[in-house]
Amino acid sequence: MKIMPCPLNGPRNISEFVYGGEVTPLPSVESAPDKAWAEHTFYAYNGTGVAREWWYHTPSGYWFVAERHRVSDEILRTYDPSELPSDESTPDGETC
Amino acid sequence: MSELYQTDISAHVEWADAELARSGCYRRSAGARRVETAAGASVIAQVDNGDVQRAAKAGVLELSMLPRTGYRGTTTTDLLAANKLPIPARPNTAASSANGECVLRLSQKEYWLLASPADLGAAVMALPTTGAETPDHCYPLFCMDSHAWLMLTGEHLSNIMSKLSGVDMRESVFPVGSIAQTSIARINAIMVRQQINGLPVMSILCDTASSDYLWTALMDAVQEFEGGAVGLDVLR
Repeated sequence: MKIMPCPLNGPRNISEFVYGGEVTPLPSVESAPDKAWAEHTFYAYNGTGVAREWWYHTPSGYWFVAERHRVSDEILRTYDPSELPSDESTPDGETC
Repeated sequence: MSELYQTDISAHVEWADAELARSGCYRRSAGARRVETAAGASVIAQVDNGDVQRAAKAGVLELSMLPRTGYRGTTTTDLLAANKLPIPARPNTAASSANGECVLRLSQKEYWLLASPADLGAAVMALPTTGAETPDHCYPLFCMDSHAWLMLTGEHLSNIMSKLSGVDMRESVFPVGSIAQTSIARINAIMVRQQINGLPVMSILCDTASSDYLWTALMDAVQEFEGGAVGLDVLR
């Protein structure tokens, strides 16, 4: 069983987690054109390297960020969303 | 075949007709003596004369009708302090009040309160239940509706949990006041280690819809330790 180190709960089986997509900055709600929203919604980077991703720990209802290597699938680091730069955290800056 | 797996349990339990609220696994306890909680529903008070012996080894309690509540938000600590309730120092820890309530800190800003068996939840029922009654930025949570409350008791707690969960819950690494939010018997649950009435216990809060399944899984797990169902009286 693969183990994910949850920042709130500690190491847990990967089956307790749900993938939530890549961490990407939200386009401006007021000024971004449709093309920017379409790219944000439907396009994803498909290369190698380190990915920064949202993950959800289901038993505790906790969202956090994980840095994972796309080639080796190794989880390099996990942390609370409050450690993200302000333009990349959740829209209202809410953390658990 | 064990009585756990009988399929001829009656769908009709007489006492349940009188109660609007009842736990998800009320049919499992048709013959037990019951006691009314402050929420106006009942929990098992005593199964039979062997309760104390079973509880010391490996007891299983169904406490879903015992009041509990929760709050979330930056000012929740103000509400707890105003009600003379302890504030656990960090997430995934719990602390007990002088009256016996257990305060669970589930994240930076989320707290749940489990009733004291001594007052059958009267103190918890007196706490605010609507946003209008709580401080700004403190929001009530309805964990009594969303989650069932089961409990394991006795000296074999750690051995039983090792059969059900991948998280190490031996007392040396998971002392009284520790919380684990993880999966147990393949469903999500919150586990809290407590000490009540001198008895080592583990409160287990799981999704209400899964409580009947988890009850069966726990009863199955305690068989090898000569355990079984017990009533609330062992905690008082």
